[in-house]
Amino acid sequence: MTAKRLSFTPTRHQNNSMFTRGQNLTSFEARGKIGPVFSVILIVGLIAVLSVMYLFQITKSTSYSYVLDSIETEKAELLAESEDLRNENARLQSAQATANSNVAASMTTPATIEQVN
Amino acid sequence: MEKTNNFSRVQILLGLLFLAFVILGFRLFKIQVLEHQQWDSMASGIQSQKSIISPNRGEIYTRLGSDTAPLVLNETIYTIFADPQQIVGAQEVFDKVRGVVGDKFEASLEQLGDKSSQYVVLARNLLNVEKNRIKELDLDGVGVQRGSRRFYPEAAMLAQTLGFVNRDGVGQYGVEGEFDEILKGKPGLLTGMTDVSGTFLPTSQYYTRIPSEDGASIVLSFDRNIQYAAEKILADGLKNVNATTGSIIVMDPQDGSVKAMSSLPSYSPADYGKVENANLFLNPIVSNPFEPGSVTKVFTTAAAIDTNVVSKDTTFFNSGCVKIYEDEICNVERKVDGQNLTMTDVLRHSLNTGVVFQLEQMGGGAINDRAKNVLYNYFHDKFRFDELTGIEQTPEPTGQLTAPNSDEAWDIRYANMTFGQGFTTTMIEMATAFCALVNGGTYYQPHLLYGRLDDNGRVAKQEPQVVAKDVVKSTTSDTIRQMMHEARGKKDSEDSGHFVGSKSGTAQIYDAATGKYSEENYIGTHIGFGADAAGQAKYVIMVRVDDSRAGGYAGTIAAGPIFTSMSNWIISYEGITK
Repeated sequence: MTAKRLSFTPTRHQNNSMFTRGQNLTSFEARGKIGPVFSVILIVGLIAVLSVMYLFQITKSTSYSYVLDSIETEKAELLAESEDLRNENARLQSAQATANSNVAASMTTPATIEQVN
Repeated sequence: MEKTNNFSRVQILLGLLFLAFVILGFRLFKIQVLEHQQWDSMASGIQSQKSIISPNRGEIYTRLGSDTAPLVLNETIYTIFADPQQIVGAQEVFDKVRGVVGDKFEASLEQLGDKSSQYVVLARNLLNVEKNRIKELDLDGVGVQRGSRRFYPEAAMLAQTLGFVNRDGVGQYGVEGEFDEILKGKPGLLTGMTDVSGTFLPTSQYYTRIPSEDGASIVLSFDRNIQYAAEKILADGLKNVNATTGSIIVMDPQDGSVKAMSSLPSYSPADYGKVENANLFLNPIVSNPFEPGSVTKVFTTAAAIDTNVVSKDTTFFNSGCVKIYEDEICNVERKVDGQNLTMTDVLRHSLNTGVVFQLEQMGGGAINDRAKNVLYNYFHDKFRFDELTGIEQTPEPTGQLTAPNSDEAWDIRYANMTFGQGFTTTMIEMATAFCALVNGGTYYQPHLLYGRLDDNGRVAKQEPQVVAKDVVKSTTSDTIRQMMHEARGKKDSEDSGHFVGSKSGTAQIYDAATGKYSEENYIGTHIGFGADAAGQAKYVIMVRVDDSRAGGYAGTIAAGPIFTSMSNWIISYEGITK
């Protein structure tokens, strides 16, 4: 089946009963037709693709939750390590530790003390 | 005639299928539309969870010169647990975890093999290093829970003053109990959908996070170095007289702040659970009323001078004993019997007859209602011996003082009260009153809180509060300081040449069972001050020793050396001028 081709030269104020305002001047007829079975398969396929895309999006969104959770855990562990270091520092600088330190042990009592104020 | 079949098998099948769809459709309609609310809430109940976000408890610091030093910090700890339904090889888990945690391992092999259980604690209170080693083992069915506990870098320092935090995270006794509301903070709340393992999904619908508010950190008025010295000096002093029980308090008389506070025996707050005697949790300086003994003579003398019934140089004849109806009050020191002595001598020789004389002068020459009212006015209204001081420690019982209108306000009782018997008070009540006595007459609220620590590490200082002014006249305060310095009778070298005054007391212990004072057990007390070159009191120290075995007067022999050591240490540490 071939489409009819019409020769047409548009001119202003043309008064031809074949062509009136608002009418398509060309028409198209597909070379092949999609049958009902193929249409159903196509629609189902499209729905499947969309579903996969939706699931992918949801999974991706959920995976961010795990990333966040992992970061939170890492942050908590780093804070705990920082806390441990701070506590150890405090213990080492405690009065008891200072009094028992080698520096304190090597100190001597001055022979005389004079206060300036 | 043969009956014809009107429906083909396909039509029947289609009919059944249609019916099934109708039923299914109705069912779906019922669930999704009619019962939507019910199913929706049921699903939400399973998928959405709530979790409390624990706040960090505020930390406690002490002063260190112009800086601060940590006293109580937080420490992250871990609990290792196993799910017997998920572990692969109970023996392997048992051996490997125990190999890391050692004595902290608390599960049995039977517990790990019990498949009906899903939670078995393997070890508690693990530190980060131990937890990491467990995680490196990568054992299936073994999990970790994070928690927090208090960490004490100064070990047992100030234990009875600080108190502790129990397993429920509630502050008990001392500062932890008193400031629990501001230290504990406010918990936050996490709500939202979780996965099957219970992990929250922040990107899911309905996820909300109300953050917790950490507790405020506070700075106490103690100076860490003075506190350390006080604890050591007290321990050494008790050891020297074979005593086990005693207390020391150091205060700043110019603002009522406590610089050091220590009692023995004590405990380690990190191991509070091992304490067998709950009395150890109490701070004896605040919670233990006692008959103060002869240190009270300073207050009686101050009252007598302040009411102008005697002066520093007023003399009286010391007969050694004074009779009050059937009872007789005698001095302990009899070397100065039969002499005319000054009021300073009364303090120097701790003469009971001298303070009874002062009481008589308050009554115009006799122990009468007027005398009792004057003494009670000073002891109760001005020195507040039976009033709560409001210091941030619990429990704080008050002392007991007999009012003049009481049936038990006998003359002998009031005579006894002049030298510290027949009434009770606490060390904090007496030390605070003494601060007012030597600072010019201002009674400051005794306090332990120096201020709160803000997020930038700056201290928002709390201003000292004046409870009463003109407790005694400033001239009385000057006179008392001078009298105490003279009465102390130490060589200048013993006080590093500084202006130091003190008074000792050796009080008999009243035995409720016999209704008499013990002749064997005494409480030795010593109270005094140190002043700078201008004569301004810079510190007040009070010492108490309960069970001296050294013989002699416990207030002088046992408590006195502790006072002197502490006094000299502060003079050196603070560079007090002379």
